[in-house]
Amino acid sequence: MICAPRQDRLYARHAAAAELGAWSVERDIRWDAIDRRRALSRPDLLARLRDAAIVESYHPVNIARLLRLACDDVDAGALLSLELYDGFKHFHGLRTYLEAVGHEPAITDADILAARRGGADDDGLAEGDLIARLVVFMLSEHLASYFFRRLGEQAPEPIMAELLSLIAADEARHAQATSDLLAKRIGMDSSIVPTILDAAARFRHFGEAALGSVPIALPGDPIAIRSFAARIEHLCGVRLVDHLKASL
Amino acid sequence: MTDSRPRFVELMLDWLNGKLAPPGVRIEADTPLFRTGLIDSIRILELIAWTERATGRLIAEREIQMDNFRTVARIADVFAGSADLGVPQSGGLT
Repeated sequence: MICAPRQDRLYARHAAAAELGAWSVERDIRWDAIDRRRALSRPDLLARLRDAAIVESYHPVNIARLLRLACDDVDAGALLSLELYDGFKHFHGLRTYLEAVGHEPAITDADILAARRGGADDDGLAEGDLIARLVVFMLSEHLASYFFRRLGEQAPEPIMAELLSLIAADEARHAQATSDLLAKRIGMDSSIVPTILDAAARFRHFGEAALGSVPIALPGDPIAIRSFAARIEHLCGVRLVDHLKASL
Repeated sequence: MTDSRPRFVELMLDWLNGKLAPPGVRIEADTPLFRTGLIDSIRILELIAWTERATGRLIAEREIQMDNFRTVARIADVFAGSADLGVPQSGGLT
């Protein structure tokens, strides 16, 4: 008898989605086809990729904390684990790309550890505030998806564009997975809605804790901003702008 | 409401300088808000909230464009020009 995974479980649905979108840094990126000259024609873009790689390398701090806080939730453990692995893959792919094209300064392990140390203590959120931290993570991943998509659209080099497109798709899935975790918690206790709205209103990208500021691909991307607000409205049933109005 | 526009600008500048301006920076009506990174672009949602409350009308999704929010003067031109402003003659927002 063959037992298929139960798709009514949240983690099973997301595991299936992750499997469908799975890609390999080693097998699916045409590393030997990189046009180094074209890549190096946009040092500004490579510098943003470097920052993005360091933000991705920060997941062992951020997601590890989320995993600890959400240890009472089997779905959260599974979804966050998938996101932690993807985050590593993004870091690995970006760092490998930057090394392949010879971008300077290269990312060192010391850079990564410095970012982790810098952000470990003070990110402006209460240490144990799981809901606010899930909101920040969801919205950070949402914006990250647009960041990688827009950067990919500007990429002067095809392999860079392919890599960024794959990462952008992962980030969109992560944002949705975290949204589903929050929706599940709202279903159990709707009194958390104001906490979600407050966290969205005060939103700062989690990567700021690591880098001070996070890179931007398209300043004021209207679609990213509209969908940011729509994501919260869909989750909470309240316009984020209306919530902001109440706090003016 | 042509006479409401200057009041809209004045009150928005007071609010922006008190709430969103970085330390040591004074925002004027024609100061670019987002282009130079003065304000994080996601904070446009707070500008929308303030403007909706001041003008008493909802800002449509299609109007959420950085160009419409590039300066306080531009926001006033786009949203306060023809609206029946809820901006009071004195004090804060209604």
